[in-house]
Amino acid sequence: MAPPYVINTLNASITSTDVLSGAIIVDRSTGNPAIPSTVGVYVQTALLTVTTLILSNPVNATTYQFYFKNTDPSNVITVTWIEVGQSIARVVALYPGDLIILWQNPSGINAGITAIGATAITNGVLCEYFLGA
Amino acid sequence: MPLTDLTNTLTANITVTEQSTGNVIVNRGIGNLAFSSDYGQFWSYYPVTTGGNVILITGGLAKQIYVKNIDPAIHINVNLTALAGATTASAALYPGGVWMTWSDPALADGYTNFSITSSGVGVVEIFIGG
Repeated sequence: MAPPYVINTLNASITSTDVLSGAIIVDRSTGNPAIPSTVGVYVQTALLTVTTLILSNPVNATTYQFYFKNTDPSNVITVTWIEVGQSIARVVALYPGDLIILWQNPSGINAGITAIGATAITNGVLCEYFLGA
Repeated sequence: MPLTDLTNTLTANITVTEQSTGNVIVNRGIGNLAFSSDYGQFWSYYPVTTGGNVILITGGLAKQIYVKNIDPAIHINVNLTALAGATTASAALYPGGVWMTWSDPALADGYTNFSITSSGVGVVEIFIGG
């Protein structure tokens, strides 16, 4: 059987609720993109250190679906990556509970990201992540 | 304006379904993050033009950002400048691509500049909260 072997799906919706009235002023699905893929890997609990952990999927240097959440109660995590076709590393600092999601189809010429790294400000910091390709 | 005007919530779930058997081998909620916020703004069809498009951030600081390329032809880059000014976040999005970051306004992070670089004239979907 040739790939795609799996379908990686992000079901997501955004709501904005007025606290005083309870009115939901924004209620929007993000479209639930379902991407035929070769692999989808979920790591529920990863321990980070001050040394950068490279996050890579097992089949491809490029990742097209990426989710990362700082599940640590108190420490900041820095996540870096390089866009395909670019050379500058992109950086985001995630505080406890923060997350980032990239979900896209691999068909674009420069779609995807590579060299994904996660670094904690101290040893033993918790996170969870998903890599799809 | 108090920091309890709105509750901005991201409800999301990731699944991986095996093509050959139909088995759902990964099924994981991400925790349904609900944050007390000052504002939440959604644009269903935000027009972009070729090159850079500056997106105005209400109140000057964004904590939750969602961008989806809903145009069938263009590709875009999402550019964010973090509060500290020294970091940026970006991703190239082809048609259907989604990028989002969701964080608590009570924390000392967020983005002060938000722009979209587009390969052509088109439309995207945007949410900004904070």
